[in-house]
Amino acid sequence: MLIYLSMLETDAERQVFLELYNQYGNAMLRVALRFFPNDLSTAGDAVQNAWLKVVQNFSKIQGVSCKKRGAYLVIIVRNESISILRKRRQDLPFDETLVHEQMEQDDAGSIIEIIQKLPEIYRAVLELRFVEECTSREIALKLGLTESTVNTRIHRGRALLIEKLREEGYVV
Amino acid sequence: MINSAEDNAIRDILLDAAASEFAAELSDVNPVETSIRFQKRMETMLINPQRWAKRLVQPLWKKCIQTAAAILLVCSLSLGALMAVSPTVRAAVINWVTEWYETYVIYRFSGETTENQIVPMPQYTIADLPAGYNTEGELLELPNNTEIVYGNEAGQMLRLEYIRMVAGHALMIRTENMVITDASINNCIGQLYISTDSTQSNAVVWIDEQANLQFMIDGFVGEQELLHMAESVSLANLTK
Repeated sequence: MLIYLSMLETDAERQVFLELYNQYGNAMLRVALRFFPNDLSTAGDAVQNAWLKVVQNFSKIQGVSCKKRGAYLVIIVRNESISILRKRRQDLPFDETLVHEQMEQDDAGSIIEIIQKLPEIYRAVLELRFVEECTSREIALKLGLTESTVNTRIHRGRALLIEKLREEGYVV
Repeated sequence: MINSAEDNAIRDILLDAAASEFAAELSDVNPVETSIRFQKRMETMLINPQRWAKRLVQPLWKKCIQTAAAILLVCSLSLGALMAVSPTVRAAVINWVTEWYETYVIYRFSGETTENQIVPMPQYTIADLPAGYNTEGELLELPNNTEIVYGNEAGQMLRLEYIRMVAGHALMIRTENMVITDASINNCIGQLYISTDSTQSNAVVWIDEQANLQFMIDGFVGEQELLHMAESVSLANLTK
């Protein structure tokens, strides 16, 4: 059962997992509650799904530097919340043309501000690809999009982010 | 896989953006009030995260169903039988055969399409669930496929799934570590799949020709419990 190979195998890994839970468990719940402010049960489901992903991809999280693990967990639970919203057909609509125009024209903002201004679903596509390392098919299934839409958004989003990263000196 | 320096830079900046946006959540150390049910789920997870995750995810044979469906979708398209995957019912008799292979079993459906009529999936339920189990999450409904998940407070899951028998479709079940025996469920032909691996769920599968549906229940329960549940499966609401 290959799917389980990256799961927690040793006591040391379980200890790291427990520390993650103790350190970020409440933060993950708070993030989910942003999406489901009056629905503790669904927020709990989103958090549970997020922990499931953490267990299944534990080797990946160990590859993230300690100071960024909190953000990594936040991204996972945020995207699990968005996935639940999508499955409930609570669309998170946006005008794709406007997004790109906004990204291209918003020279005044830093790249972090630009990312934070992105519509949830668009940002989710980029996070799922570049942070969670999901395939286009996995992203499409998770967000209820077509694979071609996912690929288009990754391609365009990547190009625009790299341009901004170059401008701000993050990459040469 | 993320390999290039540029992709790594994108990942880092996305992480930084999340850390900045959720700084308040990340720095708040006060506990969040949660339900007893959620607390129990988390306790189960912390006792053994690996086992908890294995029980929570779809069993391997369920993934095989999806794989088989995808493959057969391609076959249907290549034959120009696009409607084979639409939410329709055919005015035709659907035949099925069971093909036995060394490591898997395929239930294959065939028949002729003569007329289309959009018909929603009927809604079935397990009337006699084991003690402590309740419906978990939302009903998953696809045009020809419905799945209901049940769970208990210990985080154990049960699934009832039924699929419409549509010409050109097939169901594949992986049989590694499985002891397979024939079973009769309310006079319908079926099979029990009992696993010899404690990390793999057991299943019962049967075909209701009158309803034109194939049913499956799987979970970490014994043979008798599976049979008892299977016999209690009944229509909940015809019109949904």
